[in-house]
Amino acid sequence: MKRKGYLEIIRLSKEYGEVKALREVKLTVPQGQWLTVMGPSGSGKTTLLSLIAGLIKPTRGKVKIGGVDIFSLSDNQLLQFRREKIGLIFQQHHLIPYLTALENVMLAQFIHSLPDEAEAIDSLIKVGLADKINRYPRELSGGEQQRVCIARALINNPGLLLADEPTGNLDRKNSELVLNLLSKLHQESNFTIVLVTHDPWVARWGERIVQLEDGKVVDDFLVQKSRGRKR
Amino acid sequence: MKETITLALSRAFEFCLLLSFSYLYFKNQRDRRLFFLLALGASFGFLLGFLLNLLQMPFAYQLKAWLTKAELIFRGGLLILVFLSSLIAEMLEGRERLDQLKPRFLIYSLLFMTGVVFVGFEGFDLCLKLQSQSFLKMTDYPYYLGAAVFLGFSFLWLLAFRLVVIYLFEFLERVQAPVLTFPVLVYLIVGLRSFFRPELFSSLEVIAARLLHDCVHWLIVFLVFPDHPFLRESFWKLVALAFRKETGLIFNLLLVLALGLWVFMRTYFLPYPPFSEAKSPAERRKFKAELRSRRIYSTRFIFVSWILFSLAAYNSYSSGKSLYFPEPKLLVVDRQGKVSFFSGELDDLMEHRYSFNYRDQTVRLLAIRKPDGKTAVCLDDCLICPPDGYAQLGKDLFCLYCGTPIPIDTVGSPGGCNPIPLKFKIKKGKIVLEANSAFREWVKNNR
Amino acid sequence: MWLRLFLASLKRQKLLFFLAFLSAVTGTAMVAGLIGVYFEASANVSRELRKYGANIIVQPASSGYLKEEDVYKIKTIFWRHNIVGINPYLYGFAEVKPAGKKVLVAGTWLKKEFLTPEGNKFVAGLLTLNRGARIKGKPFEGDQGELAVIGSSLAFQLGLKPGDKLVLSSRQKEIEVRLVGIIEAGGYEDEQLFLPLKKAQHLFGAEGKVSNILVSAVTVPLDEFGRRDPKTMTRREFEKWYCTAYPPAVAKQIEEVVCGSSARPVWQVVETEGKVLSKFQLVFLTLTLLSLLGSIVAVASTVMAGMMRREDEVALLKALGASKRWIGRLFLSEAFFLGLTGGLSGYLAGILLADSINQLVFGTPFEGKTSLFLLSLVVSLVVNFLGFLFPLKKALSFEPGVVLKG
Repeated sequence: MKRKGYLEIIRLSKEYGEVKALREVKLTVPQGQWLTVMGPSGSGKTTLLSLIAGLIKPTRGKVKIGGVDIFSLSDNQLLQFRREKIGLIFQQHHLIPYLTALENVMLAQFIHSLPDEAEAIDSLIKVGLADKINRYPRELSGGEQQRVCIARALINNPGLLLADEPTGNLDRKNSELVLNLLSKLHQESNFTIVLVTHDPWVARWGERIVQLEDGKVVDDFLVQKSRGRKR
Repeated sequence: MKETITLALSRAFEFCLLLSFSYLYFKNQRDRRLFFLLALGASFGFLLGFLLNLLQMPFAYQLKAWLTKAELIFRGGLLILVFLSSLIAEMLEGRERLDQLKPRFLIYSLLFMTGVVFVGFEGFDLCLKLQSQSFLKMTDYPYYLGAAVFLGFSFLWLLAFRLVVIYLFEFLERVQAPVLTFPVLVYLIVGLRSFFRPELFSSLEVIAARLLHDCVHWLIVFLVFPDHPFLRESFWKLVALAFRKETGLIFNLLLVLALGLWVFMRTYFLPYPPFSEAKSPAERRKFKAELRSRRIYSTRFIFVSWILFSLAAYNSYSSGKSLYFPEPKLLVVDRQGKVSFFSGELDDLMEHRYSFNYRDQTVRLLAIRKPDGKTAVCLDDCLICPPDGYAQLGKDLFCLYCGTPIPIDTVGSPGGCNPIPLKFKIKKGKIVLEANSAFREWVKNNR
Repeated sequence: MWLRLFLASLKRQKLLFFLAFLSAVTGTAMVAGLIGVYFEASANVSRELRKYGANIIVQPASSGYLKEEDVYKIKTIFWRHNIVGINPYLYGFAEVKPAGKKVLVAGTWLKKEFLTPEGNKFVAGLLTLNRGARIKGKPFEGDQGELAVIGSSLAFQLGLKPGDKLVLSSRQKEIEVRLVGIIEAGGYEDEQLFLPLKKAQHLFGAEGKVSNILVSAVTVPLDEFGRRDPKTMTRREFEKWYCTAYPPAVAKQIEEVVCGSSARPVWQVVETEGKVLSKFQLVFLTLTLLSLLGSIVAVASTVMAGMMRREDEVALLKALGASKRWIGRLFLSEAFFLGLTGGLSGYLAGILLADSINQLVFGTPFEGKTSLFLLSLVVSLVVNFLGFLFPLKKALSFEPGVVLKG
């Protein structure tokens, strides 16, 4: 498969002093694909994700999203690119504690452009939190918080969703809920997902799995659709 | 010579600041053109004034008198213009609308004329300065030759201006906005004293307040029976509150601010143009946000001008307490051995200082119209002190050497520490003095 | 959304905001109060001067009277242009007939125009000299006529009002005058009865004579230089000294033209004006600067403490794509709010402070000024912005990367 990908990672390296977190990673992800990056802790998964999000700068190499080399952009352009094209979900839910679920979503809208309350409420209904829009994060369960994060990550219609261990703090039942929701939304609006996890069970929801070890891609294969569906 | 260079440089600097100011506040090219016109008018006026004086055209002084008068009106109107420009910017929000704008030729020529009037006499003064330092000679050209030279010069000037503007804007394109904003604002605020002449503001304000007062008064007198039981004295006192000295300033400022707020609100709540259905909600939001920020950006001018306006107003109110010591204006001794200036310059009832060069000496004059309407022209020197000059502080003049206060009513009478009065005549709105006699008095008192 | 964000942040950090607010208020109140008192003090000192009106008093050198014709000569001295008010008095006691009481009668000018030798019009008299004086009714003009004006407290004692006819009798004469006005000057004038000068001279049989003359001259406050002995000066220095309108110099010249007189500056007023103010200025400036600095530091340390707790929040905002400018605006709007409210409350507190100091020192209430209000707003805004600056710089340096680590 030689077709041009939506996300292209070209010979990407990142070194923290002597430690080599990533070594010459090459990866092409076509539009709309759900890619799971797996690997033991310390294999460079999170570093890879931070680089794709443009949160840190690489030592060498390029990341192209939709044909744009994100590290050739100026700081402000990169920020603009991030708020318009990339959605982020973190392991710890990272909602602002003194804002309600609705306000947390609206904040993302506001940083992007303008807040729009009706749209934000819609998005929370979509993730199944219709009755909890005015709750504060501490009044929500872990799974619910993560669903607010998904609503927030997708509110600005990004082309690329980056998720860092989204189920890391959840039990199986809640994890399944969150992953099924993500899967539903993915089918609806066809954005590209890069999900980082160490858990093979989570990886089954993806379409393609990349195995990272010691900063290098050691395995890269497609998941059979039928297996993923059943779950 | 050094002085002249400094003057020319500071003019150029102000000009550049004006351009960058316009560049900052108008985002699209077409709006900027409006300010080009202003700048073009300014530089043209400068040249006009310079050449008029250099070529000694017969109507030069007449023209300068007009320019000086018009400048007073225009300077006061600057703030109105600033407001206008935001309105224009708002009108031009949709570009297609510009082409429907019928009186745009009027606006263009108005802006151009503003530039001419603003800076016109500055060129005149620069030429005088150069002549007084004998860098330029007084000449007697036939005026049709002068006119030809003038036309040629203006053509060259237009060419040069084009080049300068193109180069300047290429340069500005590369500079970040805050880098430009800062010096411009600092300049405007620091240079406020010369930029808005305080006394002008108060006279303008007095006119405006009086007009408003009369309108309100007559309206109420005509519409409401004056002895209405509810409209007693207390009501009139309430109305008068808006015109009293202490509260009137705030009232007037609020009026001006209200105008700005109105434009702002109008812009802010302008309906959005229809979106194409294909866009996602996020894209629509982005479009809206950009539109709104552009609109708000265009009203920013209003608030900057309001701040400047308030500072100018404050300045004018506090000017009664601070020393007013204007730079002497340079006069040139004409061929009959006389110096002259326009008596209209004294209309502000403030101290005016002049100087002229005669036989290797610089003689300084002081002129003031007193509150009783009489004009006094004196040497800027008294019988005793070295000629450090007199500054105005409220209703007194102060000798800068010994600090003795001189009540303004007594200026023009000899004796004491008062400035030495001179004989003068008023001819066709000009105050004319014998340079020689003033010179002799000056030398007598300064050995 | 700004407002929501802002209110939410305010709600969460009540204590912190309160502390920052408090330090801003204290600083502003100190500055506003000190500057207010300073303004007022200089105004009060000059008000003392105005109250008296005159700053030079001309009296007979020995017992006796001065000549009325000499009064006009005061406008012929070297410093004639600096003489802005002249008022001659002739005092004597007379009995008011219907009431049967002895009162102090002052023959004077309330308002009199005369021409100086140079041909300029000059208005002299009590009303030009003492601008605080108010007249109910009508003043008499010139120095003739059968009219009188009475001081307010005397009028109250005697139960007189404008329009009443009085008969005054002195040892020499008895005259009838009509009361046309009541004067209120807030001083000894309120206890006197005023007659036109010529009328009083007639009443007391002292034609062409006056008891003393009050003169108001614009002068230069006496400074170190003015106090020096002219004999020790260089030529240039002497020229300057001679040229300067120091009160003693003016008084000396008046003495020369008014026959048999001794003119002296009213010292208290002249001295306080020059000396006290400059000392005041220094003390107040130092205090003001110190309190300003103190409150900036206080705000900065409070906000800094809060900012460290908000590191996660800032990192998250950055990860969501908020620019430095956006974040800066968020925090500075908090500073702006604090500055505005702090400025308002600081102004009020400052006025209270200034008022109590004023009551204590001068015994007069303090009048708030627009300029002071603007000043305290500006001070409070500056304090808060500067106080927020360092914490903000710190906050902007937080890395967005931390949000990804568990």
